[in-house]
Amino acid sequence: MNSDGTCELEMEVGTPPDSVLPKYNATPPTPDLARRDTTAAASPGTSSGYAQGWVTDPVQIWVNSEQINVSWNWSGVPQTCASLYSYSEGVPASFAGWYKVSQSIFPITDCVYNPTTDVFYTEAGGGAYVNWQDDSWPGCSTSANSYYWPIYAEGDNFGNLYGNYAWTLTGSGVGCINLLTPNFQLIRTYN
Amino acid sequence: MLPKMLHWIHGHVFLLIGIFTLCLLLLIQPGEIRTGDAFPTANPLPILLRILIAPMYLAWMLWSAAQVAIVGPVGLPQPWASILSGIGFVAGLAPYALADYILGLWHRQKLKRSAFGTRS
Repeated sequence: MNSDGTCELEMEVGTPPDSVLPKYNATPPTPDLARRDTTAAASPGTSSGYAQGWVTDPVQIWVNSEQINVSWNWSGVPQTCASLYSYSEGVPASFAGWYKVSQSIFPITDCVYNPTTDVFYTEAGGGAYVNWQDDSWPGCSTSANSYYWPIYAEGDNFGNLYGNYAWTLTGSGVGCINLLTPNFQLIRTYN
Repeated sequence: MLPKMLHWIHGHVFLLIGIFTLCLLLLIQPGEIRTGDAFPTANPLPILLRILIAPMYLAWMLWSAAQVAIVGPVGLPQPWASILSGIGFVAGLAPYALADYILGLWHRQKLKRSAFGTRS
């Protein structure tokens, strides 16, 4: 308060240091986009498949899950690009108490030419960043969070299907996230 | 003293398994964050603990569901939240105690039947 009756407010601008932010609200780590699995290709044309990630509890109930369906066109010719036909996201199953906090679905359409090998490096597919939460998960003193960060499925120009589920579980308490188990499968459904 | 203790242990086998399970769970690092990739998706709990903990987990889940149904998802303010959480933690031992009770009841009925059988 100034002598003339007016007020002055001093404010500090910036981002608080990580040490003062609660850990369970921390941004999930940078996704690992490394390719993790392949299944055999059939013949050039359109192929389909899906990547499925799910989290189970100790009695094998699916508490939350995500599925990325993808169809892509490919030729098998190294000098051409594969193209994305369609992609979609779905939830195969979830258990009472778990709900989605956020969701962001994205397409994957990359085609990069490598002059050394004279081959186009192609990725065509889709993925999603999803955050599931349960506010009363057994053994947790905070909310339990399950991140799909991200889950994706994609195909290349030789008919190979790839996918990954980069998972993060957060929550504090005895038991809590130790009661959760992440699972993943990559399934080719057509060609 | 020892026979009394052995008698108590004999009557509370499942409860002891429950307490043992709880101790094993406490030994595992609580950890606020776990992260990884699709391969491998390792389970943090050893297989034996995963089996032993199932009744405790189900009791905890029922407790959580009852809490949400009665006081809502936001929960009660402190210290009531901590008190409820503590009760819920111990309530995890209820299925093991129930199993002991049922086993004891069955054992007593068996003894009763055999006693009647002897008289006739």
